[in-house]
Amino acid sequence: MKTWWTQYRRSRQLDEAPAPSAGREPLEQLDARLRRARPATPLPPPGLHDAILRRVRRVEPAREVGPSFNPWRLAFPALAGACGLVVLGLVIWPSRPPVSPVVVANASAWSGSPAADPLLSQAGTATLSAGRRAASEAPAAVLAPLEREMALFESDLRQAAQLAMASLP
Amino acid sequence: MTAPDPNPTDDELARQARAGSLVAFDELVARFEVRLFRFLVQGTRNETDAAELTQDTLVTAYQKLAGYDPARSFATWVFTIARRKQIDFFRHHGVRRDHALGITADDLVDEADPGRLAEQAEERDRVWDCARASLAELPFQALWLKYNEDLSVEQIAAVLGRTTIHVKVILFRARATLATALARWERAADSGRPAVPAAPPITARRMAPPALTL
Repeated sequence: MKTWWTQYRRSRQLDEAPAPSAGREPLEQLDARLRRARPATPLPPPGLHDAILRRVRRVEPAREVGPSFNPWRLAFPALAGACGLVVLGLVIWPSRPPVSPVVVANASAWSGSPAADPLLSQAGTATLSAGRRAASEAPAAVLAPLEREMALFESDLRQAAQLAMASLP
Repeated sequence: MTAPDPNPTDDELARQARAGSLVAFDELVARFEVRLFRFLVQGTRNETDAAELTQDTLVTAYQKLAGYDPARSFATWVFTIARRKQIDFFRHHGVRRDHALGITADDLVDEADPGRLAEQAEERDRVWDCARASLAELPFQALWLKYNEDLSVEQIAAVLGRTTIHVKVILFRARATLATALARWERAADSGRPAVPAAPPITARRMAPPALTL
């Protein structure tokens, strides 16, 4: 193992720079011989140079072109972006808290701040609390006739809306 | 206005070729065709295939010059293309053709004095033929790029598509295997047997597709 490691290190040294003179080590001797020896190779055929240049003149080299817009380059980023948006939507949409109808009604009816009209705010609060109290305290026998009144009220509203729509030019 | 460099580097020529200079690319072809051919013929073992692959490599390099990064070495880039072409060639053909290279002393790219030719021929036979016969494709290519193309370990790693640590291990194993094989062959030569077999016995195994590890 030690010999192997020593030889490997010597070989790496020969990779960096040749031995200054053919040493006594087998690798150094071989390195010197490989540098000195001429490999036995034939010369290329005489017409090779002209044949290469004839072919080169026939072909058109691929010229260097500047950066140009290629719509296909956008295909992958666009697809990845769309997938990302879909995943984001799937994550966010189910985790959204349900919107309370009261909040929606308040938001649509709101036209100013409570500080600007404290009396209106107080009256609204009092009416809501009275209604909540009446709904919880009133017996079903009292509330049952009101259903008919509610149905009539809805019918009146629908007719008023139809009249308004019909009166539009 | 500055005068053009009389001896531009490969990377400078590649930059000029990238800007549209066919003359610069012509010079690059002249510099690299022999190097690429010599690299490729070691794998294909066939001159026609190697010439075809060299041609394909350089034409592909020209076509893809716009994609060449001038911060990188041109040699690394073009050898990477050559290696991929060779892999495609082996995949397409399945089995490497076992043609003898038919090398003679006249084929050697050598301007040395004639007196050294015999000694050099003997040296090449011993080392590189032994390497080709005893090493698998990947270690052989790493060794070739290291010693014949003088590429750094980082450049070899880029060409072979491996990490630098892996290339260092590959080179170490290649050297160790080659040193053992060389010693065995030399012992055989001393005892009167032929030092380099006429038909390396391992070559047939390396030519079978399952053993081809690129």
